[in-house]
Amino acid sequence: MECQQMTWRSLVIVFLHSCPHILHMSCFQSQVIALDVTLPVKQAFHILYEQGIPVAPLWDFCKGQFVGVLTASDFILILRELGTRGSNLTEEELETHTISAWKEGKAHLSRQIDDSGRAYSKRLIHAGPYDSLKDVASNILQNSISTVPILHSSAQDGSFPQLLHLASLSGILKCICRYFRHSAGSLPILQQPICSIPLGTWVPKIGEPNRQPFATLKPNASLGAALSLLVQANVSSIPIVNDNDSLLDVYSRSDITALAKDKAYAQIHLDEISIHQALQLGQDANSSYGFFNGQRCQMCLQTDSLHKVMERLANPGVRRIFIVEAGSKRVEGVISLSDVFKFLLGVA
Amino acid sequence: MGNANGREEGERDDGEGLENGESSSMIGSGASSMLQSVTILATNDLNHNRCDNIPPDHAPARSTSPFLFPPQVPVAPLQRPGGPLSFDQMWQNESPEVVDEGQPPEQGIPAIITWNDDGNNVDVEGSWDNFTSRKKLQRSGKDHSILMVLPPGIYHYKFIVDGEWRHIPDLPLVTDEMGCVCNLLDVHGYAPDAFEKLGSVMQTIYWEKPCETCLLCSIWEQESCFLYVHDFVPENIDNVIEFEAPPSPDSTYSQAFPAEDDFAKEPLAVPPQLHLTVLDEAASSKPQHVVLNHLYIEKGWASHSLVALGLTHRFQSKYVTVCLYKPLRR
Repeated sequence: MECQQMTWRSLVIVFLHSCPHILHMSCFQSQVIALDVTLPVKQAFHILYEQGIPVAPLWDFCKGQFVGVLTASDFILILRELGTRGSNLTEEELETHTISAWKEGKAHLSRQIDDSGRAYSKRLIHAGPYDSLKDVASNILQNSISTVPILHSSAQDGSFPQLLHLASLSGILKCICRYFRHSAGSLPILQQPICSIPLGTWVPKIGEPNRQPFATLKPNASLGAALSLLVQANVSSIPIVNDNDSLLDVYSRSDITALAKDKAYAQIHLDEISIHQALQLGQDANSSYGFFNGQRCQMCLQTDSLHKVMERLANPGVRRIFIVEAGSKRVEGVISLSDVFKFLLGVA
Repeated sequence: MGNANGREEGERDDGEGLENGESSSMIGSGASSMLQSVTILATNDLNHNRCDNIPPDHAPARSTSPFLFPPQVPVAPLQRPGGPLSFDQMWQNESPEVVDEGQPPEQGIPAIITWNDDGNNVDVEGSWDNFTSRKKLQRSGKDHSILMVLPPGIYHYKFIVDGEWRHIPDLPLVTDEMGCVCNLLDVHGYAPDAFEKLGSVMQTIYWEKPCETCLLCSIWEQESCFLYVHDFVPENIDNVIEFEAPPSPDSTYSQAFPAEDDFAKEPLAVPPQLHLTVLDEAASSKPQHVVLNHLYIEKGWASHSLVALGLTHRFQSKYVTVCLYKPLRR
């Protein structure tokens, strides 16, 4: 069994090593949305929502460089911070606060409470078009981010960078699946059920007291509680379950941008709106906001094969898949894109 | 892994007495240049086809990229004296089949599978059609070969030599669904020197002996080889004559800086080719080269406090439109 696993993983690693990222950029022609770093945070919020994107690179005209990315996590932190000042959200605050001011404040904050030991880097995390798929995947995993901008500069000093792509693990997984589609039936590990592979986060069973509890929430939990849990547990989504622990829905970090609809963020109080209501805001959006129309809650069984799980995760917009019990839909675990890549690359 | 493997052959100590065929299944070095050219054409068209690229009819002065050619039907390569493979029989009898398993049609990449050891009748089965059909290899002297045209990906195949399942043991080994150790082989459409690095990585990882556990599965006695087909060729700019644009006329460099009354005049008319903005073009259509590196501003934003700027640039064969939102200060 070990020999088979290692060899298949080696196959994957060689494939990832040998292919420069540019050749697997999904489309012949693509579009990327970027934001000026002097934009007010409020407008940035609306743009992310209207364009249906969860992350946008930030451009600084003065420096002539991309200086960072704005993500859904930033909005979660912004909303939480404004909420704690005691007063309700005011539109004026969001209207004048620029992205760069927010990033400065965030850097200041994280330098003060940097108990995780991670050095805060103000340098933009990026990759180049000729970096191999493995380098891009490692970059994403090591920095615990979801997307990395692919930049290219023909100048020696890196000036006048071209923004080419926003790379994510799902695009790379899609390449891997495509490559193995003609031989998947013959690779034993791909046919193994996921419950037999050390992959993903599983709900601890009785008799496993030392395992970390698996975070879930009920639909009537407050949005404030959900956001706190997302930040503190450092996860990208939380399954929403009913009293029987059956999976109903999921609240992800990217769902926060739905609060831009009709400026809901200005009218609600985080602790007075339930997750269910917050999700309703997003689901009422019309179909032009493609991102929210993706499969919201991917599920699979623990007997499903690794291959099947990988194929599902390779779909754009899907970042995790929940393992549920057949019939009752009780949540048993979750497998995310980063879990799969940590397994493939043999990283802890 | 054309020439990389060819080099391996020269270096290998033949005194090891390997029983099975020691040649590899790959593009023979003799015909590599011809097949590479076929592959390059196939590859660029692959990029085309993959994205349903249909050039607009109304494009008047659309410059075509020098890297893209219309697809060509593979023709029988010239026989090189002393070449390891005789292609004549292969090309006459076998029409290249593009295996389509319900995926959107992809241009196939030609690859040759070879058996160089003893045997009168050599067939091959592979995972391209899930081992459902058996193809006969063409014999030429001591060599048996077949041309396959396959979409990019990784494949298994097994030889059936005079009724027996055979594999090539000195090639990289991986297990197949029977739990037995199989061969892994790498065939690319690359230029050979791109392989050098890859060849050594492959060698380190794959040319390992099967472990004890796998040898125990020998009751099945079925081993197969992997065929690894890549679909890209690194763009080799040196081979292409660049289109040199004529320099601007000297008189344009000695114009005076615009004065106040110049700014009062109407601005110059935008050339008709630039009327179509990149911001409202469908994302799937390839932009005309004339709009590249022009900065567009979205209309109707004057009353807003922010504006959308669009720029399309080309990087190699990819076209990326960057849409930047910027605040407008009054």
